[in-house]
Amino acid sequence: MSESSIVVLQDLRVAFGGGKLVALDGISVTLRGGIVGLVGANGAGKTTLLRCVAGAQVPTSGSVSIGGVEARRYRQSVPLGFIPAQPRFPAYLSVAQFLDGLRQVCGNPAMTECERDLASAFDLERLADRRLNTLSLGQSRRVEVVAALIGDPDLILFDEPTNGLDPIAMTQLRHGIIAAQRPGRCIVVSSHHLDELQRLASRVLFLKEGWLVGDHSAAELSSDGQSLEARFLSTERVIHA
Amino acid sequence: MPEPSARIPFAWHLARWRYGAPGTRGITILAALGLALVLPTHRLGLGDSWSDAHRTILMFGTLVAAFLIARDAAVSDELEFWLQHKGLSPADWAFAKWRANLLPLVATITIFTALLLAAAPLYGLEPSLGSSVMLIAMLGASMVVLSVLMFGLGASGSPNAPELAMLVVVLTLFAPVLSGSVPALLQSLLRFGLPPLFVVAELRDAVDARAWTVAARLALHVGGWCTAVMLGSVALLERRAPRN
Repeated sequence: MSESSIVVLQDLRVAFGGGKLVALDGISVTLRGGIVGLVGANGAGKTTLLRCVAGAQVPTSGSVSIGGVEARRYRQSVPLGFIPAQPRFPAYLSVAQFLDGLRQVCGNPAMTECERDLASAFDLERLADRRLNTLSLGQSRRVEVVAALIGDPDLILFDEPTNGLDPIAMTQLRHGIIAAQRPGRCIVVSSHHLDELQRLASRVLFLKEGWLVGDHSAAELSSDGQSLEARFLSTERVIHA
Repeated sequence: MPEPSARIPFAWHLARWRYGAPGTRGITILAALGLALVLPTHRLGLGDSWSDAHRTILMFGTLVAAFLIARDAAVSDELEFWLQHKGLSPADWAFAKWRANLLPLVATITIFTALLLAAAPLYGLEPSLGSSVMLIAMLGASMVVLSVLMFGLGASGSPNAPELAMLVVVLTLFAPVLSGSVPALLQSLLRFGLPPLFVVAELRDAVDARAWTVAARLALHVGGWCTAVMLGSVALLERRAPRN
């Protein structure tokens, strides 16, 4: 296991409004690569956690490090992939201009086999001249996945990527995420689609009101035949009780 | 690997200019101002003479061109989000845009000046080479000052940066009137805090009069103001986190 993608969250706490709103509290977890699912109701703290890992949110206390480097410094020094909940594209660029430009920014690295396969599977050549603001949500997601892979990052974060996607686009995206796996890479996916996540993730974390309330491996999840959804709902009930 | 801002593809700037800054509408406005430079606009009462009227149009054109072309340099955009995750800071991206914007700004000044020089003989004027060079230099310096102002306001993160820029320019234009009735300290603050557009004009006069010591002091004022605003802006941009 490559050390460069090990994400360590230590007693992470994020509070807003002078401590009135606690988004994350006492999160301590180590992610050692593979696909990690992040599950929680709206407002559970999933996006805040991803922002902390991406170095976009400074913790109120505690720390986040990737490969031993503090998250903000990590983002500033090496490429990482972040796919936001809503596609964020400059309206004035075509798909080809955007992807080729990002590659140039990363120092024109050779295209990895995975990037080439995904670009081909996603039929991006057909979209090359399309303006980014004219793409459908499914097409945007495909472009984002390929963009996230540029620079061959060790860490890729997906913030509810399947929201608003039709079943075909969702399946394509799932295949894309699975294809993006490689040794030494950590992929974190937050999602409300628990059946999708069960098919993807090698490990699933449950968040509730800023607390980490469950941490299950794929083996654990498949051993008792209980669906991820049933397990999540029972966790929610236990916490409520 | 080349420095970060040099890694930005030129095609991105071209697309940006075509789409919105200045965009088709902006280019139309600039073309209309260019046309006004060759017409007998002094007959509309803009000035006592053709030269007066055209100096006014030229200064107005400079202002408009700066607003149209330089307004987006340090404003947060979607590409900034992607670049931040690829190891390029918002300051690098903003500086790359600011530097690239100098190209259309210089092109605009050159075209304006060329139109003016071409039209002058029609009105019985023979501008000298020296005065033409001075005109380009003064307009260029004003453009740089205005683009630095836009950069600073964009870096502040204010969603009303263009309106604030207009307010600051209006305040700058009225500062000589205002400064007569305020204490000396406030006068100094106005002189050193506001964009040095009048200082650029004073600099031209000093160079004209070959008063080199005064010219050097004024050049230092302009350079110092631009450097201070740029450094402050970069410090703000370095703290800007991705909005994901």
